[in-house]
Amino acid sequence: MSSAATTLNCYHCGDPCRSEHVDADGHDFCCSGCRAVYSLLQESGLSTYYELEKRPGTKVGPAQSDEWRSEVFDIPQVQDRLISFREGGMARVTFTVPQMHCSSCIWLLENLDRVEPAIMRSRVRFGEKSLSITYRDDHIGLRGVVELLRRIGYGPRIVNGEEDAGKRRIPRDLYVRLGVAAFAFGNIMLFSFPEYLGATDQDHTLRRGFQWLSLVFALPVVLYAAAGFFRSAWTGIRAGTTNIDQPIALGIIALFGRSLYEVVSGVGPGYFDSLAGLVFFLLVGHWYRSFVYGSLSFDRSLNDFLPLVVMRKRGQQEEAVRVDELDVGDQLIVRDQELVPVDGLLIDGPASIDNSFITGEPLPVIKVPGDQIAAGGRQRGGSITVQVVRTFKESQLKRLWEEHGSNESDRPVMGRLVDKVARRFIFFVLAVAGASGLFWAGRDPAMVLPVITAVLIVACPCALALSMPFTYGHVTRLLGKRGLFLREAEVVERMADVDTLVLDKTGTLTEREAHVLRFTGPPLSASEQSRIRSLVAQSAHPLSQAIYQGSNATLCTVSDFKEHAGSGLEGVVDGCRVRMGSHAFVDVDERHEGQVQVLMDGIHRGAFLIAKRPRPGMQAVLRALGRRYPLHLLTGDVSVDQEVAECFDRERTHVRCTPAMKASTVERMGSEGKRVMMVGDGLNDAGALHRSHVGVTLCESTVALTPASDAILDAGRSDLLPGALLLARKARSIVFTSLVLSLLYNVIGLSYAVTGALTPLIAAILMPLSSVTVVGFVTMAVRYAASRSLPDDRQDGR
Amino acid sequence: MNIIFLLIAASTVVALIFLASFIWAVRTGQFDDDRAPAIRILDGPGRSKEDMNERKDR
Repeated sequence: MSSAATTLNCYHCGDPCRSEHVDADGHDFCCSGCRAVYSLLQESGLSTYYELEKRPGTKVGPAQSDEWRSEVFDIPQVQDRLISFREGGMARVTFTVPQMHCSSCIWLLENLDRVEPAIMRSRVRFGEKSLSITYRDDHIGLRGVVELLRRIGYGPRIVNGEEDAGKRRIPRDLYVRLGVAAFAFGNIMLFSFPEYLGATDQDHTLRRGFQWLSLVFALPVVLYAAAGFFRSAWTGIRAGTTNIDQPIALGIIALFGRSLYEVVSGVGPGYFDSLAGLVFFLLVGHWYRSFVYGSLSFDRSLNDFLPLVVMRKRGQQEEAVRVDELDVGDQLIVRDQELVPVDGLLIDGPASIDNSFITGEPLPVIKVPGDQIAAGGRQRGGSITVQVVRTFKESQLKRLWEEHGSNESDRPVMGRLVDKVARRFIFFVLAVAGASGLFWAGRDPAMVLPVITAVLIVACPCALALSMPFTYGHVTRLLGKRGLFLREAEVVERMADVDTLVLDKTGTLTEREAHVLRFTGPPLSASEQSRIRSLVAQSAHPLSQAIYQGSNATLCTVSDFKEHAGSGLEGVVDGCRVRMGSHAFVDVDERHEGQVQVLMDGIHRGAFLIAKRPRPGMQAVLRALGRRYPLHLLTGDVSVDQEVAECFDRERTHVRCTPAMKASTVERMGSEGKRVMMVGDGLNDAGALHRSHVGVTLCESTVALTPASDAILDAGRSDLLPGALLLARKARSIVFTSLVLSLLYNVIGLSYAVTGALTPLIAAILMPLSSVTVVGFVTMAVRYAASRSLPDDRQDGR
Repeated sequence: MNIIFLLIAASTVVALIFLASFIWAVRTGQFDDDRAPAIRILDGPGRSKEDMNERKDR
């Protein structure tokens, strides 16, 4: 009954209700944003949204700094890029909406016409997280559609480069192969029953009939369903490498060849049921591997980071052009929160450039007209005019990307454990086959071929080939549910190998937005706080925002407000003249610390110290990681604050790292034999991420863009890292154990094979039995290991 | 007892028809999305036209 003990959770998004708790309609909301969505849906008669799933919403925060401003969607060129069909006042656009994760989301997104009548229909493709909206272009423009989506928490993710549209998670033809294999498997099994249940030669025609039927049904299996294995084995042979598909292909050929011979010459029934079963199980393994992945895209091209269009100044006019259409000498307008896409010269207005994504410097840099601005920085503050010095193609950013960033599939293909085992396995199998062949050649030559083929049949590594996808696939799935998304199952294996951790600071260990650390000088009175907060409320500058967020003093009216972009603010609040800003602006000695100095009625009151806060819980995570792995910190910042610094050894902390330095440091570690897991968030980490053994990007929102990597970690779930690494290690030992288990089956089978006693019945039992037990063991083992290593998953299974 | 082959032939033909339907269903994208169609039926009839048009331009 004690309300102090229970935390209220938001009816809309499920987050705990804290300081901004709102109570309405008998429900609790964590903030007015969630409440607003609720009201909107109630008014539109869409309360089913809350009935289909509990707490289905996403918290709608303040606009993410790298979201496109809604005005962008009014620009014709942008509309042309995004809209797929437009005619007669109707238009259709297809968006990627990564936030959709449950039935409520699907339901709401397909009922948008009930919220906004100008939307005619909307259709979801859940697997690809895509949403197709057909709307009346003359009533609501593209901008209105985007704004509506953002309002309800389903803002689309707009990417400049080519999204892998149309790429399906599970290719359709895998389903067809699976269908054919299952069809053949089931029927052939039935046809084999008479043989196993004791058909004698009295029913000779029947027996032969069924044998031929099995042969016919097995043909599509070998020629179509199993084709992928032969292709892959052949590719490996041509490249001189071994992979797991080679012994598989060998096994299939042996099975089919032997069975074909037996049936055609009337010698026996053949092993067609084992053949079909083998192919079926292997294809299920392939299916499972694809099934566990989400719909995130892990690859990036540099274009992805560019704005859709930029505004070029032609005299007094502005025109929207693509970034690659800019010439040297052109002047372009960059507005608040927009990216500067070229190397340029600042022409107009002081600029406040946030380079944290590119260089890792945490706070904006002030530039005045005449200064150079490098491509990739983001303007925070008023509009500025930049003259193009180097086009995007020539820019430093592009060069940086090409030298150090990730180029598509540039990564060395890491050898999988299972492929390494395959090498030894093939050797072993060929050795046993050869030895038993020789043995029988001496005793009874007629047995040579049957025994050799039996060895090849039994040695087919079905269980072996299944243990990896099911183990790592299961782990991928469990991690994905909790907020760590892997590019592919092999990443789990690489995670198990990791022996060193390298972390970026700005944006990774610290939050992306700046916060007030403290106020130097004597504590502010309530009225003083009020005045300061009222003043900064008038400004959109990140430092002003930080101060505004950092206090909840009541606001009062401000008169005579003036913002001197890049320097500071001033105004009269409550009869008091307040000036806030840089040292120069308030005419205060540089030695006073704090970025925003405060002057009240001419008296220097103190200053605000603003920095990016370490993420909550990060210290604990670092400590947990530090217990097992050496931790290194690479940052573009000039110093590291106390809380973070104490988790790292002095020699392992590197400040003032340029992106190039980060990349070369990680590369050096790699060449020293260390296997590095790099955790970063910005473009300045791209090179290091690419060169690490496992690269993890921390992602604050599904809409934000991160550099290419092997894994994406939800920023709020960094507590997963120690557990995930532990689970990866356990998974690897589970795979080892399952390899042993499957080898055990092989040994048993081989004992039958070399003695010539491998009947179709025994093969038909061994194969499925080994597969099922290995998969079963592996699944339960992973589940157990996960329950011991990982924190609980989120209730919504996002 | 040899009649069983006629029976097998007949049931194989039927089974092949089903296999063909399965392949058709996969190829025309019936199985592409398993979650959305389930929710769609909650809205009642008349809301799901024009899907064939959409599927074609993928």
